Amino acid sequence: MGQLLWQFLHGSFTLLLRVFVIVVPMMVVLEVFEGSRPFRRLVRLWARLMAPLGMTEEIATPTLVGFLFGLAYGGGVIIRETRRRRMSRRQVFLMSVFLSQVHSIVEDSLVFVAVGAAALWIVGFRLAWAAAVTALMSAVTAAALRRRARRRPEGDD
Amino acid sequence: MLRREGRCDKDDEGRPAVTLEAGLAGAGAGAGGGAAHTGACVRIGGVTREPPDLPDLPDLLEAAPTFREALRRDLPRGVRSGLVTFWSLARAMVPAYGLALVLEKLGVIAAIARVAQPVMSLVGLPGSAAVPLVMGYVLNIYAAVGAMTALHLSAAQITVLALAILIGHNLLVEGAVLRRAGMSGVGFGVLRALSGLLAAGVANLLMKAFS
Repeated sequence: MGQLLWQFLHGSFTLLLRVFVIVVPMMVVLEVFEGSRPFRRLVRLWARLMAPLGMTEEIATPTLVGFLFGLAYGGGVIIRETRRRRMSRRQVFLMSVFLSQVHSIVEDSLVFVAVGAAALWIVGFRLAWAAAVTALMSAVTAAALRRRARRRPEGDD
Repeated sequence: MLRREGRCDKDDEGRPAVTLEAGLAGAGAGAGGGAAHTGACVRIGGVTREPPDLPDLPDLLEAAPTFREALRRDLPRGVRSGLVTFWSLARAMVPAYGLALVLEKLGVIAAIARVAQPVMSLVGLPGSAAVPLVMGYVLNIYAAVGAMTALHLSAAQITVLALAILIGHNLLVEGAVLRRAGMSGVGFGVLRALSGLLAAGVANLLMKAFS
């Protein structure tokens, strides 16, 4: 029992330290460079890639961060963005679907490549898979919204 | 400084935009010290306001901040935003981590792995591969990699298992993060577990077809 408590305290401390070391500097960097030209260009390019999946440019920023840095770390940006701007539930949902399939592309992939997985498959195939799942969910939610709009013509939800 | 009812409160599908829980909105006031432009309106500290009157272009150019001024303005805001976010994540992560530890100690993880073994053969993996998979679901990819290296898997099996774990892992902690964004943590956990296994199965078939 004491050992478990020690493991919990030690593990929590390590986890929080790792998150702190990555999250806080990343938020500072993002806050400072968010308005810069290279960042905007990157976001615009990314937004163009995401547009066929039904995502708007607004949701592209948190999606890009989650894609690069991970759901747990990128989650900070996701929470911040959904809090700051009012985004549609569908947009947040589509971002969550995409990021649930692929996130932290650099770090996570490297860990598995290190133990012998084929990089092309776990990066390329996973990206294609994530795009396919998101496109499917995008089509399903769009159809559901259309049906709801038809049932209640002046419905306002 | 009116609250606009027009475009400000509607999203791209013409529905009212998401309203976040009060706690998050309150924290947003601290984090979002600056203004964020959202189309026709300006959000300042979590409140939607009319866009401020813009000065004439020459005034604007004169007032354009230098990099150092921008840094001095954005740095404290970034630090505050980072700390608020960190606190939000910490509250989600620590309880989930504790739960995962207890489940492991009670032998629940091992029991789940035993039950999952028949499923593993469907995606071309040995039953023992269920152990790193389930450890990945409940704990994280580092635990999964540790358990994976203890097994004797072929290169193709490692790739297939890696795909399943990369799509579905750390479901408790990351589900808690998704909940903070207003999504269903359980729903996404199920989606990721199923989607990961399906992706692994498809990859297994494709790899067999191409080799």
